[in-house]
Amino acid sequence: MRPTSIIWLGVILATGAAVFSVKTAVAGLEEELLAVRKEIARDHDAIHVLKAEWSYLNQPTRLADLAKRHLPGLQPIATVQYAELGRLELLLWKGGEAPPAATPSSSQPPPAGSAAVASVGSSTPPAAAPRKGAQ
Amino acid sequence: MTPIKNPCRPRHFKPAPCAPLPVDEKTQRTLEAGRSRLFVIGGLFAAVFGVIALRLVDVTLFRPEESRLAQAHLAPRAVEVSRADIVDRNGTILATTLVTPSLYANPKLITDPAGTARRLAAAFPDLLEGELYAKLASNKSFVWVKRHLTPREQQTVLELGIPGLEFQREERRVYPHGPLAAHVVGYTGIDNKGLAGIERGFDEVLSQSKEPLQLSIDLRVQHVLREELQRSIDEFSAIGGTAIVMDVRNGEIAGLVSLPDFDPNRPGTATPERIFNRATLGVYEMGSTFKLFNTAMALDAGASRLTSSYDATKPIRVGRFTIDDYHPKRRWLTVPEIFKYSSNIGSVKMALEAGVERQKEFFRRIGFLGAPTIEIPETAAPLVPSPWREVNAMTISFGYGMSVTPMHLVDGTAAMVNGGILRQPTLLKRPDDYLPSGQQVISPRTSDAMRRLLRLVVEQGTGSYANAPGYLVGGKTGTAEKASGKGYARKALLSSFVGAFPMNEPRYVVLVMVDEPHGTKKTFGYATAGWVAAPAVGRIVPRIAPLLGVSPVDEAAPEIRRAVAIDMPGPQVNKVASN
Repeated sequence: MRPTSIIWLGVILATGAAVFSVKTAVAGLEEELLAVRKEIARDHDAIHVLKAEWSYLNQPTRLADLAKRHLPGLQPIATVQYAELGRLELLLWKGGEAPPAATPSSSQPPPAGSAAVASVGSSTPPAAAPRKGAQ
Repeated sequence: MTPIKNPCRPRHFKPAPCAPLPVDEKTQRTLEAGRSRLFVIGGLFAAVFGVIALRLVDVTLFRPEESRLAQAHLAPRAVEVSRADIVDRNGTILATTLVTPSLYANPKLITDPAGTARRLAAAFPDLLEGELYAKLASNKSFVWVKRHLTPREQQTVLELGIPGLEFQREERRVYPHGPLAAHVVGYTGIDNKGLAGIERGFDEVLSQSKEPLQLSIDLRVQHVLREELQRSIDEFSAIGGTAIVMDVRNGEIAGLVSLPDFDPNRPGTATPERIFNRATLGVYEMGSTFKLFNTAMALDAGASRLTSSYDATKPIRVGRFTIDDYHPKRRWLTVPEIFKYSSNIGSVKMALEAGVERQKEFFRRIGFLGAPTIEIPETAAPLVPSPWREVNAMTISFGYGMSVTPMHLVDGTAAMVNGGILRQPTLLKRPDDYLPSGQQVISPRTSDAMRRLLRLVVEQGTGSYANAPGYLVGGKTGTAEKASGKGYARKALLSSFVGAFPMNEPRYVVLVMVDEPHGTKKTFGYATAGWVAAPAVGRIVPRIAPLLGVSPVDEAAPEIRRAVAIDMPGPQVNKVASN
């Protein structure tokens, strides 16, 4: 046996061992992949069921009941509480006075609201005298 | 003389320093042949290995998708259901398909049918032991025990551990919102075939497509309609009712409710009258709401003008019938007054002036002579007089002698207020900014007049309870006596209100119809539309308008007054003011 032959033999053995280990690693990964894919399919299924359940839990009747029980302070917005941005400015302009008597709501406009009004006020000049709601 | 090369000689072999062996002719030829053979075989091997090497490079580096394809068998089959979802216009699921286990048995493998039947009957109280025994003792190799088990029920069966019982993966249609949109969505049978509503109308599409089918209805609007309609039905002890909201610009139905309704998850338990869709399948004599079409017909034909007036001093006698007004004024009435007071006498005269042919042609144009075209199969053809004589024209002018579905009424009203264009109603969501083509059935001018007339009814007439401040509701009340036997039942009424809002630029038509309401103390015993259906619309509009993106307007603003006000000519104006 010459040294070259020994080297070649070593190389062959090493490659063989490497191929074998790669093969087993691949088999392991494939198994893992299969498991992960099964899990994905199961999760998909679960998501599908959860979506149906989410829709079920969002039944308007149920939500209305929950709101009545847990949010007693909140009411649907009354018609008089709507205002256009352009007119809001007119309604609130008089030095932060309370909105006109037409609005029965007792709540004061929040500061954030008045800031927004101020920024609107600089761009759109008042067009006409403020008009009270027809109500 | 060149030394002869030994082909078998190793590369590093150094020949002994001696004289070359003499080679005779024959040996030389043999050596030559061996060399060339070796060369050819070596070449072949090199070529084959080269191809393999190239192919390896090709597959691993340049075509990764092929290697993935080779792994496809590794992917577990994703759970795919065979029927697409149905969602509302905001994507809320109205119908979906879930996978459930179903229990079947192979009687040939069951050793103890009696014991098995007893244990199964104990686990499922709704199964009868006798029937089970008959099935399990039969000579078949497949019998259903129970379809669509819950996970818990499946666990119970697994714990029983009876050989011969197996599970089959099956699909089940689930309606998370129950009865809320039952008449629109419909329901399916146990084999997931659509049996009613959209489920039936789109059976093929749903079973082939994977994409959810998006409807035009808004579940929130649907909820408001159902709640308020139910309230009216309860308040007036009525037997049922229907409510519809339709977008006048593109024909989308935003809400459609028919009460009483049913749970599509358990259609088998519903009575036929619950499954009956009053909105599209029920045909009714509508009563005074038909004056809307009578007036539009007369105005559009040019037979009447807003300033025309008609003699309503005396009831009209036709054969053995007398046509009179509910609130007789006993004087001449203008067209707006006829509409406002809902005068039958005036309507008859307007219709006769326009003529029978014109009336018939008008109803044909607005689609009242055929079944409503909508995506659900539950539609009914109207009941139309044949032949269409003068006496029919007279009764039709105030809504008797011709029966149509509430859907007709809504679609026709939309065309009367949207500028005169009749569009097909639809339950499917149209793409944004898509305007379906329609037919111009009345002139924009007539449509403008109709808006003002409808607003007048709510501002000053029979529909005042339908008013919702800020939303400029306009509409017409209709109280019809239901036909019973040969005549009409005075006490069995059909109270309806059909209207639109906001009247300066109508966006939605709203219809509420209550079947056989009974008066209460609060309404002084009245069960007419002004007391029953109009208040329901007045409650519905302010609740749905914010959901539909309609913001309130200032009703006193001059430009709004100009858009909806109507001139009430002559001395009658004073009387109106004093009312």
